[in-house]
Amino acid sequence: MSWADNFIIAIRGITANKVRSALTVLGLLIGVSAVIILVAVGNGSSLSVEQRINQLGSNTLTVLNTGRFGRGPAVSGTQTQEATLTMTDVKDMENPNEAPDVKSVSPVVSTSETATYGSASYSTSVIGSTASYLSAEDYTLSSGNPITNQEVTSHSRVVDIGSEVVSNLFDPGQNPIGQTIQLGSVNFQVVGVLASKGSSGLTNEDSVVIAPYTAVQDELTGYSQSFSELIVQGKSSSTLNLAESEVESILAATNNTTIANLPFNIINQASLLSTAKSTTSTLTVLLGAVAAISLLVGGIGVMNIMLVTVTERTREIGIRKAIGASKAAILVQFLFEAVLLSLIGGALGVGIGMIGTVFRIDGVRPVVAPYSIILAFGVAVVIGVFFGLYPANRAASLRPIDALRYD
Amino acid sequence: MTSTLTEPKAAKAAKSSKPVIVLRNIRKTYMMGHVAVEVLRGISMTIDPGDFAAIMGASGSGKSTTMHIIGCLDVPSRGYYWLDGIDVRSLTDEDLSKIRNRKIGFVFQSFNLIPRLSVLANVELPLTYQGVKKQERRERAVAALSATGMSHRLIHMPTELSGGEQQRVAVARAVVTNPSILLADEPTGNLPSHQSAEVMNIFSQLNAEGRTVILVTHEEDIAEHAKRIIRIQDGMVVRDTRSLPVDALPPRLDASSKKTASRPISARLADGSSPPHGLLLNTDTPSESISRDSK
Ligand SMILES: Nc1ncnc2c1ncn2[C@@H]1O[C@H](COP(=O)(O)OP(=O)(O)OP(=O)(O)O)[C@@H](O)[C@H]1O
Ligand SMILES: [Mg+2]
Repeated sequence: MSWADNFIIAIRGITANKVRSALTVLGLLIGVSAVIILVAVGNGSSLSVEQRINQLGSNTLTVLNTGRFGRGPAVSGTQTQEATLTMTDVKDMENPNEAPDVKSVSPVVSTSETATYGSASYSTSVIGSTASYLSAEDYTLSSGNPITNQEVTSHSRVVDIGSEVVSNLFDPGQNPIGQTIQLGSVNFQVVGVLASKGSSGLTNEDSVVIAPYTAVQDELTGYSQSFSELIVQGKSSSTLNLAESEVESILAATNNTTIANLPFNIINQASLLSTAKSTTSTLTVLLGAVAAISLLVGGIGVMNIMLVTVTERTREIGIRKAIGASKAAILVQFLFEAVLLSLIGGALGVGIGMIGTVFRIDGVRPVVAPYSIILAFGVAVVIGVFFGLYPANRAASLRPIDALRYD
Repeated sequence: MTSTLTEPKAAKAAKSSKPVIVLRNIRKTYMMGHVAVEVLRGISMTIDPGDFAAIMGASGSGKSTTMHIIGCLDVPSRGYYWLDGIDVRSLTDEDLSKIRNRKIGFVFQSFNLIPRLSVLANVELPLTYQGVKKQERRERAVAALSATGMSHRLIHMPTELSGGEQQRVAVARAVVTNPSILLADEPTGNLPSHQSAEVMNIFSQLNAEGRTVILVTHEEDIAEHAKRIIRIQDGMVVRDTRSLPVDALPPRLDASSKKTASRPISARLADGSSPPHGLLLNTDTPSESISRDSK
């Protein structure tokens, strides 16, 4: 028999059992597209988390004041007091002898205020810090000037404002530089506009107002010795861990405690990045496993359909053998059928998978991993061919009369 | 009680005197749970080429089982079966497929059409497995279907046909390959008399051309088309009567009733196909794929 004859017989076999064929294709399609989509989602969320963390800057430490009590265990009942981050800490950390790997330290006071300009108002977070804050947090200016340390010393009421604040307070095209806005009821002059960093998902870094911490303390939060956090910029991301231990020793000394009992949280961006990377790769593996299971379930579905129709097909094989089909001819027919069905199912699955990954899923833009296509398609074809051929081979080995009697 | 008693010595060519089918002491046992049921209890018969035999017997006497063994669809539990002088036990699965495909045409008692293929596709199928080209395949299948009066139902599905119509399609499928041996298990069981007569006339004409025909029937007047009646009872041959010699024309051949009678039926079924005998197993037809030498 020619290839064309085999092909025609296979096509006839497929179209003659439309429901069975459709279910087989569907099982493979779902499995294949699930693998492609889920792996792409895992992949995409890994990439986006990495991007976000890279945006945060990978060579900073954040020392957070958690409001815990410090100075070690109370000597007598009255000496315990809240641990604070003070200007002394900042000076110590900026001292190159004590902390050679620290480039800059920016103390931060923060609050939330309603910013108003004319009739427009917008609720924003206000960050009071020093000049080094902008570079430590990777802010750049799209226009105007950054706040300076001189303005910090002089308690100037000047602000750099984020792009979101600009768009909510000012008319399009209006230049905010030099304008005066109110934070709460206090007037601040806009000296610079920050370039957009894009939403990081965690916090909106474009909805921010940055002012000298002295002015913020004077006008908004009230004077306090203490800062809510310190942003410590390391000299490089490779020496960030050294900088971290230097900062820890300084804080342990000033708070009269050990490093292990520090009353502050220190967030190391570099280690955050690697943790996040491993978390998201765990996510990808997990999603991949779910997808693999769905492919397996699809495969079992295919197997089921093939086995369920074995009665009908066994009789058919009996008839074919009775009128002279050889075992080889029957196997070739079923191989053709199985290959065709699984190619169709696999190809449709890849198609649907590619379409499915075009859409954002829960804010994540899926990124297709080529290996997942090859793997899913390959597994689908192997499953289809194996479970298509296995029952056929059994039936084709029967004597015609036994195959005809089978039910 | 064997056929040789009543058989006149064949006066024809030496080739045709050699029996085409020899069964010796065929036994068939089925296991029903743990009980062995012996369905055939020593069947022996010899069929010469060109013979036209009717097998008769009560229901359950083992007629179909015997036919399946002759048709190489089943194997005996014990005993010997020589087809064209070759012990079928020595043949491979592959050889048996070729024999079923080219040498033997089989009409099943229960038709056994493939339910999801059209009438035409069903009848074409044996030719497909022979590797016949599409165009010729179609022509021959249509010819066979018109010979059984079914050419008006080409694209119907078997389930859309009456029992009698399915039977005629099954007959068409058996004769489409122009086989040298035609085995028919109650081929007229579901047919009204005029259609039975047509189907029997096809068999008679094929037999008149020298093809061997064996059919199973319950009806005496169908059996009268044959030259010989073999009666089976409880898995044994109890009577074997010959009414005409092997090389005689079939008794009820009605060539005149056919519009196309000027051409032999085999020519109408298949132009230029193989000769009726020695189709597969004889060394003098090397074009066929199985020969004794290859064994
Ligand atoms: N696969 C089988 N397993 C067990 N018993 C079987 C099997 N096939 C046939 N038989 C038995 O063998 C006996 C002969 O069956 P067979 O089909 O040859 O009868 P038959 O002469 O063709 O009858 P009918 O005229 O009704 O077609 C029956 O009693 C039947 O029950
Ligand atoms: Mg029967």
